[in-house]
Amino acid sequence: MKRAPVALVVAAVLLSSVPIHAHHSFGGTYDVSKVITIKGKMVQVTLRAPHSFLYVEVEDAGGSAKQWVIEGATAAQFARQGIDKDAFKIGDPVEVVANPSRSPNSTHARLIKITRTTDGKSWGTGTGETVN
Amino acid sequence: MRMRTAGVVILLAVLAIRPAPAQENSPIDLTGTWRWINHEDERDRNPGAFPGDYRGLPLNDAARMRADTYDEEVNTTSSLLQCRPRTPGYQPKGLDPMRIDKIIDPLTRQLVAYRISYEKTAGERVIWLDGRPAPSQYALHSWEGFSTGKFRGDTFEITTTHLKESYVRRNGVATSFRATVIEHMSLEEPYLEVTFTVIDPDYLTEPLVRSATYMRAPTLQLPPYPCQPEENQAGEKYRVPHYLPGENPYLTESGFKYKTPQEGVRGGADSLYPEWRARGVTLAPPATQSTIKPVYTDASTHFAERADASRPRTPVYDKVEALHVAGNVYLIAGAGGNIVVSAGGDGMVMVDSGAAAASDRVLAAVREIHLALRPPEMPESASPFGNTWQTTHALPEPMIRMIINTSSNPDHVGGNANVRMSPLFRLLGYRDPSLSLQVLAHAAVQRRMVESKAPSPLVPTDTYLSDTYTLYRFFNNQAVQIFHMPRAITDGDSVVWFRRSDAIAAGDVYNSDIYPPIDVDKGGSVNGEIDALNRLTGMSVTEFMSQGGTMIIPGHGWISDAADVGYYRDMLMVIRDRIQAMVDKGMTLAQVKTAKPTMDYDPEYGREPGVTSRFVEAVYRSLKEKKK
Repeated sequence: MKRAPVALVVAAVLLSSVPIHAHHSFGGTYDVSKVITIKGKMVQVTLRAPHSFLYVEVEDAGGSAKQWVIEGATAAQFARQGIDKDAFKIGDPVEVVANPSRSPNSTHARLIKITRTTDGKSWGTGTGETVN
Repeated sequence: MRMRTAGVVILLAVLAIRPAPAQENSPIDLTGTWRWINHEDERDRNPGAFPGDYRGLPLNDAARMRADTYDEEVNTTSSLLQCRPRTPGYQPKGLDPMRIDKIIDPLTRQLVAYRISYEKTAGERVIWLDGRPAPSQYALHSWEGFSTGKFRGDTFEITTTHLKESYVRRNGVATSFRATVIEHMSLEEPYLEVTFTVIDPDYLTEPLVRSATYMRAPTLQLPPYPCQPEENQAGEKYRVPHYLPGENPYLTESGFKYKTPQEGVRGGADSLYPEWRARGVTLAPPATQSTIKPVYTDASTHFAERADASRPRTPVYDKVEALHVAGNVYLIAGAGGNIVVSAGGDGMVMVDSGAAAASDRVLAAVREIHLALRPPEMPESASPFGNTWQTTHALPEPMIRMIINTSSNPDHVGGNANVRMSPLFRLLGYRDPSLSLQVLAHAAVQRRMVESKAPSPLVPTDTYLSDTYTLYRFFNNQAVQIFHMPRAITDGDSVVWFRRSDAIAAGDVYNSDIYPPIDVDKGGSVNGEIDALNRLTGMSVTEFMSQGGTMIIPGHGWISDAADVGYYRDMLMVIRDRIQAMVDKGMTLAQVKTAKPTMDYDPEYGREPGVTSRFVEAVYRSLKEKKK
């Protein structure tokens, strides 16, 4: 019984830390202490190495569009978790939870969780957040 | 007696011709597949170090300034950096599995080299054990570099030079293209310990020694790595994310979060030794995370001044070299400005002619290239003109058909007269030489040389005015195109593209190891120079992972590729932005020079007397005059 909490902690740590063997430094590029939410329309999905990019177009109140570049894991890592080119499609309305870039005025962000708002399909890096 | 003598002679003869002893076995077996062990430097190796965290690095102030102003986002905005492999100065920290194979000479069965592959490496590192000399100083630098190896007891030592500029930590701590990396591999089965040392005369004050451990993984297969760069700024003008000096808000983040004194976080050789601990425990960590304005005072801040104080050297052209670049394109280096030659059955097109005093050696190099020419290639085109000229002309001696000048700079046009008067200068076309193309340049080059009363044999005889000029026929089986780069170094700069060989002679628009000699009085400007470099990278394609492909021959320095030119362009954009901010504040030229806006790049590009000062002045003037 005494060992159970330790095992749970270990399991939680292992599950929560998706092993992203970053080519460049995620910690240096993005402010992982901050989280932003981006709501918009998927305009491009690029699953590739070393990192994948999702492009989300956000329309502001004035009607002008701004493109966000959302960086995620390598294509192979996405594939292992059931995300392929068909998981999210061009035109899908999505809500993205992400770490913002450290760079001022940047529209780049690091993917934490993405949800298609029409049916709730989502993928995320948190505990238990894979494809549902 | 006679028989005995004969027997002795035979015995001696047999002993004399006995086969050479077989090469000794390698002291250790390095071959196989190895998995990295992630048991140290977790923050550094996995998510990446915090910005401003230079602990454990013996860096100088130039490296500090460069890293302080670095923004890691540049790795996602630049398509030339996204797939940049690691150099040996960082690779063992890179969490990549590794495979080591032997290369055996099939004839002698001797071990001539080891081949090392990493998961995220473009090519394969070859570690030569056959004692071959290092390539020329004008040879291409690569991410893998040029490596030689030898066993010292049961330790394998690798020495690597000819590296591209890279980093020792993923928060902008740079390593120069002048760095040397020495690796030591020792085996304690199943572990392989790799100690790797970076010696960098530009950015480190002492050798940086680090280590990593690998474990044998015989069944591991290196996965493919189809790295595809993305144009993440589609439709936007290319930008280089960076901070102006004193504006990076993250430099205290590591000290604050790890409760470490900022002096230790800033690194430096002193902080690496146990003696520093006594001082470190007396210092308080940052109380908050805030923006600091670092002051850079160590000797490296005086790099440009030291260069200025050194006695200008009279150029000596005693070592003129000919190097193969690509296809039928060659470089003649060491004669002032670089000379590029397309050589083949049609003769030679020469881009620039070097300094006048080097002409004899240049013509000797031309003969050397001619002797090294391969036999004419078979036609590979259905074109009715395909190679008919080339295959029917076996030239008995080199024939220089024309010169193309990239600018009016004396070390590029100085040899025009000597080459034109040499018996090797044999024109194509009309019998009347005055009707044939002889020396071609942009019209502005001819105009400026005439205005400056340059001796007429130096002045281009033929000019073009358009944005692009294509030679009237294929030459040595390829199109030769000339592109005008307006308002770059001057208003008359040209780059010359040999299309089938995929090689570009860039002239002084790009120099691999010196600031561009922008001449505002002759129509040059920093923004025009950046536009020219953007055009040059746009014309170029790397073969794989930001390396190879289109070869770009600089006006001065070594054969380069688009990644090298991309670095150079980014450097210029960073410096342009810094000086622009100073102009916007109303600072005078003297104030700008005192502020040393190029201090972090001077070790790499400011090693010649007066170069940094002239460059800063040119950037300042071109931005100031633009503002008027």
